[in-house]
Amino acid sequence: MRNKNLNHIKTTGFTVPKDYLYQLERELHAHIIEDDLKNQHIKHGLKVPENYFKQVDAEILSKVKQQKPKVRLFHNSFYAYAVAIAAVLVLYFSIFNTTTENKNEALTAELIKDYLISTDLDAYDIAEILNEPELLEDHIVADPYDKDQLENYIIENINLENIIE
Amino acid sequence: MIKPCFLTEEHHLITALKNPKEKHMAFGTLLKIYKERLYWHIRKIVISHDDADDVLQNTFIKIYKNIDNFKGESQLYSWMYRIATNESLTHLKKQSKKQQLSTSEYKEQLIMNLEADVYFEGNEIQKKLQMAIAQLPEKQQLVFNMKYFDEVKYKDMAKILETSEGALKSSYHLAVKKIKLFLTSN
Repeated sequence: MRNKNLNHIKTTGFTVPKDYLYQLERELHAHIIEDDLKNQHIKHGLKVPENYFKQVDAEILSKVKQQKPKVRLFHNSFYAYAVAIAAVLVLYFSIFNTTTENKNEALTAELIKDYLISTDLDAYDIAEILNEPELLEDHIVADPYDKDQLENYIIENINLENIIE
Repeated sequence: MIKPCFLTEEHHLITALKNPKEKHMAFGTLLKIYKERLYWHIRKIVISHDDADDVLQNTFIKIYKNIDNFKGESQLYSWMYRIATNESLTHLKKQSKKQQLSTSEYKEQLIMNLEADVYFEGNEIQKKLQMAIAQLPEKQQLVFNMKYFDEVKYKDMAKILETSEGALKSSYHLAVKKIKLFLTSN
């Protein structure tokens, strides 16, 4: 009788917690990823065209040959500071005069100053940026102050060459 | 890992770069030493080869134009890495603004297009890793790329990114944690 029943028992009777296998798979996957990340097994997968590094030298060298020698505007940082401050003042007055009625919304010298400080520009850069205040004003004071617009203007129009050291 | 030329060599190179008669030749040497590592640094930020090529060329042109302004207060390679980083981030901002997307949305789009990119030979997990990196804040992306792929020492990274080693370590650990979470939940 017992032997006959054995032929019909097809399961072990053991069960696993709900979602156990799914969780196990996830945990193993996480473990593999952790191991790969830890051991830096995952590479970036990016590649370059063949001979790119041989050819790029010539391209860059020919471009720098076309560069004209740079004329420095300021040789003295004190002078640069003075010009920067003067430029800020000019800008301040030009903006203030045109936007007194609407100054809560308009771009103010204070906002520009805050922005320039937050971008870590030095006095030389600020002087360069502000040496054409009318241009800056024309571009961004026409509309109410918009941080994105200001950032866009600065990225597009300002010489960032000196924001280096 | 960043292996800058020895200090004495670097000193000679800078002197030559600042001498109009030797500048062009010294610049050729500079290109040979640094072009590949700067390229890979840029490429991991801007993702596409064509963009990396443009940014690399602009970076070297700026280095050439501004070498006279280099005061030697930092090492040459960290100065150049800073220029490359600024150029790359500015490029990303410009491109994303053109497409009226945020920088992270734009970068996500670049990564989604990686499969069609002939200069990407990565598998699915590599693509996911790039996607995970793109979700990180800008600074954590830089730190992760430099530490994970290029094995830049925190000491060197601190000079390039002008921040403390402690801050970089915590940025990196935070980045790894977020990436792990992204990869396991995706």
